[in-house]
Amino acid sequence: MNLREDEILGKPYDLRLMKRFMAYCRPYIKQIAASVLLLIVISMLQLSGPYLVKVAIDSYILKGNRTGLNLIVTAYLIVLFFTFILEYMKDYIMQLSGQKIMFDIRADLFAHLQKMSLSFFNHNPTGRIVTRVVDDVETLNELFAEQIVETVSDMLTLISIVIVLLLLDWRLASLTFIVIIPLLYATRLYRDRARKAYRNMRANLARLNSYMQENIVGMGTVQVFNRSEENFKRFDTINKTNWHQQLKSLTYYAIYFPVIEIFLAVAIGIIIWYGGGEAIKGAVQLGVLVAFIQYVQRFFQPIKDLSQKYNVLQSAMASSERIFNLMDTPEDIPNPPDPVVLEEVKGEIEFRDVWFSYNSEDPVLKGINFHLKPGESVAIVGATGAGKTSIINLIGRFYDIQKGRILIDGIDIRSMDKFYLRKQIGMVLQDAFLFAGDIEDNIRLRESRIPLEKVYEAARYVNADIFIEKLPKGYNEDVQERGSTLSLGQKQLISFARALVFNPKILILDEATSSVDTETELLIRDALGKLIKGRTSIIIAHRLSTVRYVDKIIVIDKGEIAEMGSHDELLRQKGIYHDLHQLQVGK
Amino acid sequence: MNTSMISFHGRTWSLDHISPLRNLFQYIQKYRYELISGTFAVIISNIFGLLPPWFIKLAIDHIGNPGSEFRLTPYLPFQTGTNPLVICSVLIIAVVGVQTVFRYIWRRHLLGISRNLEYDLRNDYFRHLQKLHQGFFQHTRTGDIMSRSTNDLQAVTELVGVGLVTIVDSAIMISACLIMMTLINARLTVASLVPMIVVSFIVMRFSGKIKLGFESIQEQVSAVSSMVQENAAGIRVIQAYAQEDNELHRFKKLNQELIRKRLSLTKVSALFFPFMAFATGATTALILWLGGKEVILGHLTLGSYVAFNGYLAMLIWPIAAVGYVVTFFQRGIASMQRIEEFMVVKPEIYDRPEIVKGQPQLSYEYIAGMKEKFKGKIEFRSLSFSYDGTKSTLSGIDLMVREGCSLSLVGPVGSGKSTLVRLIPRIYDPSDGLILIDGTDIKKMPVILLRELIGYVDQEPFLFSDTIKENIVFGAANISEDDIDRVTVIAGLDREMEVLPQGLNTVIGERGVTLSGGQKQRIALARAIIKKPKILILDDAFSHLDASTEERVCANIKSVFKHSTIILISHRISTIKQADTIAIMEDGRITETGLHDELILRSGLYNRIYKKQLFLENEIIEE
Repeated sequence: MNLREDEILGKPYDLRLMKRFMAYCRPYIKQIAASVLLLIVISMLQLSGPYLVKVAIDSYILKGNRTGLNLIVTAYLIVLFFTFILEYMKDYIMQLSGQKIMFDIRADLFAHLQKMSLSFFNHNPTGRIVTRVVDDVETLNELFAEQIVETVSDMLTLISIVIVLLLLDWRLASLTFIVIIPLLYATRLYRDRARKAYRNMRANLARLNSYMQENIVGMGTVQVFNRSEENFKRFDTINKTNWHQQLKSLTYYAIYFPVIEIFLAVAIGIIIWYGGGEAIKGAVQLGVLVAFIQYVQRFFQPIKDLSQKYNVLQSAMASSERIFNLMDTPEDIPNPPDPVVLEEVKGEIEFRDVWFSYNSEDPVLKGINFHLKPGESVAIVGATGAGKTSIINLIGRFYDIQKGRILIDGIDIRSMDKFYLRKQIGMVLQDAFLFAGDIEDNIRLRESRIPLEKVYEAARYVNADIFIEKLPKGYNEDVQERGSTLSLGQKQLISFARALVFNPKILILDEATSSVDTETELLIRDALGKLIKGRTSIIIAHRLSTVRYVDKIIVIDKGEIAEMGSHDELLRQKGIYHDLHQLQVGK
Repeated sequence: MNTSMISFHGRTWSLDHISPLRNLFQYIQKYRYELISGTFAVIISNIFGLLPPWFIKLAIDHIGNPGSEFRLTPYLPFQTGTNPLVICSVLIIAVVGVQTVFRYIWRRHLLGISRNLEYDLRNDYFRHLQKLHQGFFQHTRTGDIMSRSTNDLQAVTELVGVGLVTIVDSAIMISACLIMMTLINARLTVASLVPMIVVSFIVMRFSGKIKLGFESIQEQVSAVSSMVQENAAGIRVIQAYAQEDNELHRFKKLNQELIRKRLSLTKVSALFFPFMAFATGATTALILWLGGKEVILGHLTLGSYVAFNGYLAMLIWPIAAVGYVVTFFQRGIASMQRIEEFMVVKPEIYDRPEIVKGQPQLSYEYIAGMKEKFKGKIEFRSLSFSYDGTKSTLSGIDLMVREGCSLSLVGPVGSGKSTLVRLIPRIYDPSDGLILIDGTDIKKMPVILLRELIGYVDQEPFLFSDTIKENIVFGAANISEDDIDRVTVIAGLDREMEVLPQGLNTVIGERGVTLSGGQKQRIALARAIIKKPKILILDDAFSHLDASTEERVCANIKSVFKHSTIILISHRISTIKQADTIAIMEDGRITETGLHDELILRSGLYNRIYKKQLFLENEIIEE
């Protein structure tokens, strides 16, 4: 995906996108048809107004017929009342179907996002994803509920006015239409400039908001590093650009709309001068002239509206393009169509010549081979960036490998149901992510079928209960966005408890206690003996003391397995592990 | 917020003194000349706008009765040989031409004010946020802070733009049209006013309802956004626990609620425009009926009737607009109030007036000069701290670190270690007690100077989505390439940087490559040491480093920062033990201090930790 795609505006009309959008409209075709029908009736009713006035003047007022006048006024009121009712119905039906369509699109989009792989989320900022699901769909809703219908209605109004005018007096009408040529030219001129200004404005506004967002999240850093002044200057520059662009766009607007009125004046001038002359000659009725003036005034409104809608239409097209592009982004970790069904997972893990890279160029793992029997435990050791975290990411199939096979209970994980696979694995990661909610929600992830006793038990196991019980509301203590009020160590303990409460067959710990104090860590470590019993376990730790509990140790160096074996075997080899060990025991 | 109080983490501010409208006027006042010239242009343009219907009236009356004497106004005879219809046509076009100029001026000036205001307000808002302390950001959702500068700011801009224009325009239009209509026929004027007033009143009632519905929709949209945001940020956890279906279910429920709220608003709001059209039409019908009778009775010429109708048409929208603009007002004021809510949050960390007064402008040179006078001795005197004003996180901290010496803080999770070090660069201020640097109370020195002295590495460092280089030079001025090379070596980053596609110019974060936890920590370290701090604070800054990298980086720091004071939080005895002072923290208090060798002889927590780590190490050796 293009990194700056938020800033690109599409064509105002794109057939392919319209087709996609129409597919979503299909279930509500009856409602849409009904509102279009209503719309046509309404425009006709609306147009009958000036005509009724004409009839009133020519046939009754000028002839002094008061009964007729009463009648026509009554007719006018009835027409108005029906217009009112029908328009209300139309708006409601339109909103109803619009909302349902948006719901469907949003749900599909969100469901699709759930299937995207981690590398997708690594490359797409959260802010952009939120924009897709919330704002872009909202823009599309506007397109649907207002723009499409109103554009159709504007077009209908324009066409019917032209027809009515031609029917009333084709010569006068043709003469009046001369004005349309410069009007269309001016509109085009305005539209092109306004579009460009609008596009620049949106692009800059996206920059402005993302800069602000980043500064809010990183405000502490900005302050401690005395960067407020400099960052304000940068912000001001972007803000000033926005201001310039706003004024530019305002200038176009301030010129175009008053100028339109001149064309209207010219049209009225023509009607009075030519039409008036004809009327004096008796070739045109006076009522026709009055109706003409009223119709011409109505003719200009839709043109003004259309030139403004152009921008919205265009950005709606761009939004729909982004939405459908996202929906079309293929799942890079597809679930197999016919997954192998396992009654129960025993927890055997095997890596066979596994090659993996994040960008398909620089391999992070080069030919990894190892085998874990059910219930066996392994520690992975190695320098930062050696590929330890990559190995554990592959087991839950968060990424797919380029070469080789990963087998669980002898079955390639690519032929298993990936959700089933992941349910067998409990992962505790370096960066403990917490959701807004309370602590209890964060441990059992709102899975109400997990009883609270299990939650408390898991917390006790990892000694998280000590600090949780000290909190004013205990397990119901609020957790803020990103868990910002808790320390890193506390967050790690909560996510540790989370992994246990789901009672996985395979347990993966990625530096799960790096920020936990020694006492707590020791208590956890004591519990670890019990935890890994009966579970295939993979543990990444910088502190070698963990290895006491594991059956074997794998030393990773630059994407390859450098050493593998038990603690004693590796010490005897006097290789990398031996050196690391010496360093830690301080010799 | 419905209450008149706002509270963040136990601290409460009264909102009684917020006056959104008054503050808005202060912003607008800056542009009073534009306001005056814009209003003036509206008046001119509206006066001119009244003329065309009058000319149309004259023309139609002339057509209806070509023989009569043609007068442009009742008072000015116009007697040339020119065809009156041509005169009318030309005059209409000429008048609109002049009007166009003034229309342009008022749009540019009055609407321009709203753009200026948007710029000013956004800058002020950002500026203010920069002064607020960390507690505010921890307890306020990012989305909430953002939405005030996007949605709310837009509503305020609309209030000023649309609101201002509509008020000025409507007031002038309404009075002018009424005068003209009264001149034509007073009785008709009164008759047409009755439905107008009813319309305006009903529109006002509508607006209130629409506003309420609108607010509840905004809340729901914000709930949907937050959910998507969290889902995307925590996708790893969601996928790892196969929670996708539950999430989708929750998402659908939130959206169903959104639809429900939207439709219940639609029930009211969909009435609005159709009703307006109905009311306008009904008024026209009324005038057609009454006016028609007058014409039939000969009390009114047809031309006058048409002109009257023309003025009526001009009047309907401004009157309805007065009602309609109420919505903009309510929304705009509510939004301004929301912005103000954050603007009145008082900065807690700021320079006392007596510090800034009399000092020269705090230029970089001045700060740099002052910085050199400091040695970096730190003293905590009977310090206590509480985040919420009730539960104390730190109490009775007394501690001193001599210049060029190092202090290690050790203790269980949540014992207050990070909180203590955050008080030094004044991320928070202590509730009680003092912190002195070289004998000076840190509250009595400029905040900028204080922070210039300190290099701080957070336990979860925040990096900006920019290049690695930009992140490293983040807080420093006058940096040479050599300086950058030097700190990357100290932080042990040099070799890893070479492997990256664009080296130090590689963009990181959301728009670039993802770094490992250890790499992030070391970039944050490089960022802290490049400014050559007198005091270096390392809050568990090596937790993601493997033992050998940690050893190397620690050794580098020790040799380069011989003369700096170092405060270090760590759980690893190997890292801690070389410190000149080790302080043990438990439940917000310092329970033991001393050297490693002394502490291991006592029977406190340190001894226990030491024994346990030793035990573990021995286990490794034994096995």
